Amino acid sequence: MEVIKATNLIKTYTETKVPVRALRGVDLSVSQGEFVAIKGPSGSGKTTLLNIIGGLDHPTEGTITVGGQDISKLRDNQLIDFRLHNIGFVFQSFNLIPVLTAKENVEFIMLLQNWDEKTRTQRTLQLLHEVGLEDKIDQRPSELSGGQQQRVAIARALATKPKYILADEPTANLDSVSAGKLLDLMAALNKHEQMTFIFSTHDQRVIDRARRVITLEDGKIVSDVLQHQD
Amino acid sequence: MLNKIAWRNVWRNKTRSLVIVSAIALGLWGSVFMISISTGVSVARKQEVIHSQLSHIQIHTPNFRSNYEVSEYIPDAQKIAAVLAKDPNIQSFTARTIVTGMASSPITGTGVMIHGIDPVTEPQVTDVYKDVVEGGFFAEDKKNRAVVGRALAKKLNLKLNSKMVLTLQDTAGNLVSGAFRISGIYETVSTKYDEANIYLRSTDINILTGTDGLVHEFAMLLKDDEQLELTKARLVAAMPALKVETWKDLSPELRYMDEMMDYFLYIFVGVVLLALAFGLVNTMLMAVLERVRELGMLMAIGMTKVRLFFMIVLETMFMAITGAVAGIGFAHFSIVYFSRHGIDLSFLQKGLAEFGIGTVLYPALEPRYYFILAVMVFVFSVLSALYPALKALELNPVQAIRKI
Repeated sequence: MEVIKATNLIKTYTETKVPVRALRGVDLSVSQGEFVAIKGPSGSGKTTLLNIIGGLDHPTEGTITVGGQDISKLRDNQLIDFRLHNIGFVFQSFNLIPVLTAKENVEFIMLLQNWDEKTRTQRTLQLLHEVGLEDKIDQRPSELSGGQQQRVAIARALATKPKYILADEPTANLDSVSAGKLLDLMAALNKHEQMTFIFSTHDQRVIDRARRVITLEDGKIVSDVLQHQD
Repeated sequence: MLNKIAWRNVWRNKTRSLVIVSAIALGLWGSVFMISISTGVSVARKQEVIHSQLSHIQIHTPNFRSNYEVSEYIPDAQKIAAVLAKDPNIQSFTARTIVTGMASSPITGTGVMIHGIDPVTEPQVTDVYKDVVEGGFFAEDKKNRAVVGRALAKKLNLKLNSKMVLTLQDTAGNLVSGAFRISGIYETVSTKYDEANIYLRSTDINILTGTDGLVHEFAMLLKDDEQLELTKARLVAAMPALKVETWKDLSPELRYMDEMMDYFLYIFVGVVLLALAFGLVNTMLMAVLERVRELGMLMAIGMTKVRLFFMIVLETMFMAITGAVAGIGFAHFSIVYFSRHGIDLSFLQKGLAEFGIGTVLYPALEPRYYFILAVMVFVFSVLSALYPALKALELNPVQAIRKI
């Protein structure tokens, strides 16, 4: 079932002296439960595409429909609400709130959705157990390694059971062991929770694990390959 | 959770936060303590004037205080005394004969105010007997005794048992004189008062004025001075032909001093808080600008701008309130300590005496001022938070996350 549909997406940044055309007419369709990697060189438009799919940015032209809702027309406040209830984000860095513990970071997103305390605590502990950090619940981000921080970020992204997980170069700052563990974790969650995962990456380890690989160059999709089914 | 994040954010940069918290604490401690000293001076001056001179309420004929004529006595003084004795809020009262006259010694003479008092009831209303530093306050039952101020004694070169001559006008308009022996010398904190006021027995002075039981003034102390105006209104109703005046009417400068304390507090603390607000704005602005990416991330994951705004406001308020609690708390302890032990300013004795103020200051601050201060700190911290919080709202999540 098609859950994300982008039609002729164009994004031009005009803040610079010379306008930068980050996306030049992208058409994309993603079905529920897909595990998609968007690859391409720096400046190819990967992050811009991910931001527009996640409702962080508006396209200059074109439409983007997520879960049947045209989010290109939503106002900023509506987009915040859309993101809160539909999207789980994992960024390359600066993912966590430094003053909160791992448990509190995961709990935070549920608090924004006004979950009751008992459910929050149960869900948080379950997620931290799933990402293998049950013994780090009271550690702050500064007391965790990069890989552990990204696992907390994934636990937080999954906390409110969003339909879509968008990850912007999630393994960029990780060593190969941590990256491997993180990918295993995301693949397992994708399989069991039927969440749709979309990554922007130029990390070959991520690309190899993805079932579908979309290649962007100069703001255009130049290839869209289904790699394997597992 | 927002409270938790805001509180912990305050202490992310401990040095920076401690600098501004300390500045707020010191600023408030200094200003509150200064105000308490001013209030202490004001209260001391008020109490001094009430208990040594004015009392809470005085009654005269309507024209007495404009000319101090001997003929402006209170008719039917006995009836008035009966009304005062029955009033539920009057603790004690005394009747006085007051005339102006000339006090002369062998070397010089000077104009004085002569207070003919009742040695039994006067000490129940004023504390002037406590100020006697030589001799006594009509302790011996001898006629024509006078108690004079130290400054007057010095001016007229009088000592205990010296004689002076008082010249005044009797009720028939004749100038009369009488010789009085100094039986006591008093010294209040006001040298001006000491130089111009003489105490005699009213029975002695009325021999000179020629009218027995002459009363120009009733002075009284109240049980509850909060009911000052209420008691005044009751007395005015009971004796409409007379002029009933409270200490505020009798000494408007004291009333203004009392009332000015509120404005003084607002202005003084307001200026201090305004200066501190700039420091607070600067600190919070730095805190916001160095956390652009983090704030962007919070917006990206679904934190609304309203929540973000409140988080910054809370951080600012926590910082201001921490400083305020420390500053006001420290000021409170300082006030409590010095209100018991006093601040000795005896090296300024002469100057303070000119203002009718004792040499030991006792700081004081009414509890309501703490509430006013708390409200002022709250308002200033919210105002200080606005600019940094609005700056945070201007952030666009995508641009914020991209910033390095």
